[in-house]
Amino acid sequence: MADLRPSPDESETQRPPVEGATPSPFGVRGTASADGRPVDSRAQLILVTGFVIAVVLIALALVMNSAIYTENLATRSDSSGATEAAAYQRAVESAALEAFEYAHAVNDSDYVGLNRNVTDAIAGIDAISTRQEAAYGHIPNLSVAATVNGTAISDDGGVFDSDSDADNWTVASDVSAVRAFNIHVDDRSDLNQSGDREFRVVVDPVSGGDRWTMNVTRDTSTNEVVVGVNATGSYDECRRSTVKPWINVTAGTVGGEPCDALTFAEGITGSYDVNFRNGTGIEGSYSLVVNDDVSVLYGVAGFGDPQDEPALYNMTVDMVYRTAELDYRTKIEIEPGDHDG
Amino acid sequence: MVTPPPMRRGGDGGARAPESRESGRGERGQAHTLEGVVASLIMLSAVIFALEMTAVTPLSASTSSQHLENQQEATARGILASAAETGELDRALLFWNGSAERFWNTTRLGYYASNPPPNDFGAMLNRSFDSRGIAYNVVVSYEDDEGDRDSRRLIYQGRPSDNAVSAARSVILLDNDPLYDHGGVATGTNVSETGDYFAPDASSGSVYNVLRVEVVVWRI
Repeated sequence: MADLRPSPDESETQRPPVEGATPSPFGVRGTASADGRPVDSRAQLILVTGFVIAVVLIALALVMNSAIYTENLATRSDSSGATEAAAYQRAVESAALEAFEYAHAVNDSDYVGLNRNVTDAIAGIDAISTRQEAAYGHIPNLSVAATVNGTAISDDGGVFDSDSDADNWTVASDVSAVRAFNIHVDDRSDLNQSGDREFRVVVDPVSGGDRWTMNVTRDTSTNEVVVGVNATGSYDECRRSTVKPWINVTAGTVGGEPCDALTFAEGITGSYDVNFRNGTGIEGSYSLVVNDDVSVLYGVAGFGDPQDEPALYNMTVDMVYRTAELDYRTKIEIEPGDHDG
Repeated sequence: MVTPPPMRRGGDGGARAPESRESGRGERGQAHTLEGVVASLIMLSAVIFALEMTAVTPLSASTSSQHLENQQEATARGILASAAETGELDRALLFWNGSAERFWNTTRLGYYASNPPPNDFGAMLNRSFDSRGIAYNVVVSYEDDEGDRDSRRLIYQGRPSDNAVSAARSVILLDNDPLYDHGGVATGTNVSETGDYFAPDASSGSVYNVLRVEVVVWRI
């Protein structure tokens, strides 16, 4: 091994720089040996350059890494459970609607039974789905907040007269909401053509003011069913060539297609009476649900007579959906066939 | 204080140097070698570090596959949502062969494997995934008689890869939901009237059971 210590004579006497040497930040460079070859101390330069390159590469790697990390975070799928909450709400809405209708199918005798049916159904959904969702860290909670009692009125055939065979009569008085109002025309040839004998549905505000009127007639020249609506002082109509059309009054469709003119009780505020005029001018069936719990509207119903039975007008379900990062609360309104959609 | 000795400036060029000069040249060589090694180590580690950050293999959790996973998850979610809205999801779940106690048109295993269910839900999955080289499983979990969670395969195409994504949706069955025959037509038998259905009646009210349908999707 070579002795790295400098010899005493060299440590004490520094060699003078050779003529023509260039000053450098790293010391004197360009010193030449006796035969003129440059003697250089580039080691420091190479070292510093190596460091600079290394630092640049590391900086580059950091910048790229942070860009990738940022994009990774930005494209991360939703982990808060908001989409699950929305999907759960939709599932509950459709199931609650089915359960609401099923409750009426199995028990339509009284409000207590109807209320118990829907409450049990929602409690059942709540119990099972809470246990299921808890496995994924989600805690849903469902409860029936309120139900509104109503009355289902229907007539399964014949002309649309009252149980006392009156041609002009009040179907429901002092109601403020109607849902699932459907009229089925047995045959368009039974419809009166026009004039005084045309069948009309008249919505008459209790406090007075403009009425809302819908008439159902037949155009003899084209043999079309004409549904005319007189709302807020203007008249508009829809024509269909269907032989046995369904008129969904609250949904605003005639013969299964949307009718722009038909918006039930448009422009009416507050309570109103629903009247039929010229009930013998039409044959078929109809049904509607009003938000009034009149216990008995009509007498014992025979075929062709209107009948009424207890029904829930609507139901409000409170839904809470909690995850680690989300506390979602909403009210789900179940009201089949309501005219708001 | 000891003054460090000045660095020896070696290289007297050509001529044979005395002993002291020889030792000076050897000293410089070692220093250069060490510098070179250290510099190369630094550069090598920097390059490795950079490569570690950016290495993308087909199965690495890179940004591009994250995008694909998001797409697949959204597709699965969309299929479930539209199938649930149209009622096709209910129909696919109630497409039940009571006598054989398995879904219609399945083998003895009881689930669909290479072909999706012959109904609209199966057609939706087929159109969305099969032609694009994406595999999927559909697993239905429900509450059993003891109140525990149990699950049943509806479609099983294999073990999902590490990059699989899933989407789930709850389907609430009521007592009056009908079972469907092999032609997809509702039978007169309600789900609550048969003891052959895989999920039991888990509620005393009108609710039958809540089925959680989970679609697991991955690239193959």
